[in-house]
Amino acid sequence: MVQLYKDSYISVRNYVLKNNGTADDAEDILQDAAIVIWEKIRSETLELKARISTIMFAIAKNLWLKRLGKLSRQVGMDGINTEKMSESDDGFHAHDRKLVVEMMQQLGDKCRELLTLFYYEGLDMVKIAERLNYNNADTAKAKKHQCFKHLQEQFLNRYKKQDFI
Amino acid sequence: MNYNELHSELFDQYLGGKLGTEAVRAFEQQLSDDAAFAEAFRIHKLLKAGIQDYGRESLKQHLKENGKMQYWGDNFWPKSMRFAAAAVLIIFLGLYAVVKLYLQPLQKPELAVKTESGAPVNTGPADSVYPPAIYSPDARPDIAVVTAEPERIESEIMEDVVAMDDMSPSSEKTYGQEAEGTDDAGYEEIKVLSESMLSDTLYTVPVISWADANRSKTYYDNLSKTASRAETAQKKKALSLPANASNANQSAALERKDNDKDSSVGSGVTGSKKAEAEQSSSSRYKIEFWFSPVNFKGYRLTGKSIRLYGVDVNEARFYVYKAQLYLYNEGRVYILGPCPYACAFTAEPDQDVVNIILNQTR
Repeated sequence: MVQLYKDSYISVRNYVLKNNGTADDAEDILQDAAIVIWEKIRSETLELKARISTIMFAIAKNLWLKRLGKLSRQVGMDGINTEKMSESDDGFHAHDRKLVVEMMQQLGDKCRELLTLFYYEGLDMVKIAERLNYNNADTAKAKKHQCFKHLQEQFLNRYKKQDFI
Repeated sequence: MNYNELHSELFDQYLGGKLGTEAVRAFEQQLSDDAAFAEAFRIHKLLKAGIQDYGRESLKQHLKENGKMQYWGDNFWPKSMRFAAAAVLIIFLGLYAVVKLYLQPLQKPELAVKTESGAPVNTGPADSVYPPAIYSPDARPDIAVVTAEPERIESEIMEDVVAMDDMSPSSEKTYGQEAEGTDDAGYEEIKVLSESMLSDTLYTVPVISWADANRSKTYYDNLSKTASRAETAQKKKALSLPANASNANQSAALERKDNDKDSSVGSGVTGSKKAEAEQSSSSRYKIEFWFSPVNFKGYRLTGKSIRLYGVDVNEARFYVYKAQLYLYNEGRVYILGPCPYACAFTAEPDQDVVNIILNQTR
């Protein structure tokens, strides 16, 4: 992923700079595009109809255009809907999600890593147990439950119960 | 609603698509029937989304730290441009080396060779190693062998040698300056490096008289041309016997005729030439045989001192003809003019002179 990021850096940077962007914008867009591709690969939903670097550039291009408010026209590429690949459709408020991110940073390192491995990287309990040196998958599963419960309690303590009724 | 592990497990299975058809239907039925169940499910999804956002942020931070490219302000050099710049630099250095080594002359006389224009040019690398020539005194009785130390011998020899414009070559002069006090205006001084003397000797150079040259010429002509009628008639006349000679006198007469025929003077010789023809002289030269590390073949001539480079001591012959010094070496005749520093051998252009010299060697 890091190598893909480096290989696409120049082309994305040049594009963003030519389209009213800065070097920081280019880096940010490139990172977002790399994450999109990584998540699609992880979830096995990436439609590989071109070179990965080409897809990377197309996604970055769409993200930048979207950020500039110019996404009235879609930028398609041989049947790959790169615009759709760059959207988020959870429907939650950004404030709530940001709050959860803050709660995650207050967790312990091991809990944070365990929850990230399970919910973000999609690893199963066997692999998580190996990586985090748990005795077995059941131990890892129980630990995950504890960490998730702790996160939920922390999150709910920040809101009144009536906010969720 | 008590949030327990079973609910968390069920929510994860539903969101991960791991429930069967029947279980999904039951789950969705419960979502619609149980508000608290639905709210717990919604909070679970929100936390999961937040955890994923945290994961993305962590990955972004990782890419930012490890994928950073080197650049200077707005102008940064990608890898391809750096390779291109390195390639240009290497090509430039290679061209510089080619120009420096092969196109510009070097200040080394041992690299000089004879060109058509007569001016020496520089060529080839230096520091080639050649074995020194082996000098056998028995093979050259006409050469006085000098076996003493070079420094001592040189001082003794110079007492006998008549110094005539014997200039000591300066090793400090550099390439491109004109030779001073010599007639070799066409040659340039060359800085002499890395030479070694093999041997030196006193050499008696025979002076070819006019008669020797004429006899040599006639002899040579007889080898390649048919004698003319006049010469044939002259021979017959020279061989004719007196009418009144007796047998004893005839043999004596023939012997006298033969002796007269072999006399040093041919027909048409004037008194002055006869005197010249009867004159025989020789000159003593100090000959030095030197070794050149890069096979330079040439000479240095100052007065009565000759330094030869790349010449086999057993093959060299010297002759003076019409006050001009010649070197015979390996079947070729070279004319040696005054040269205080280093000159390439120049072949004698006059074929008649060459023939005269060649005949002396037979």
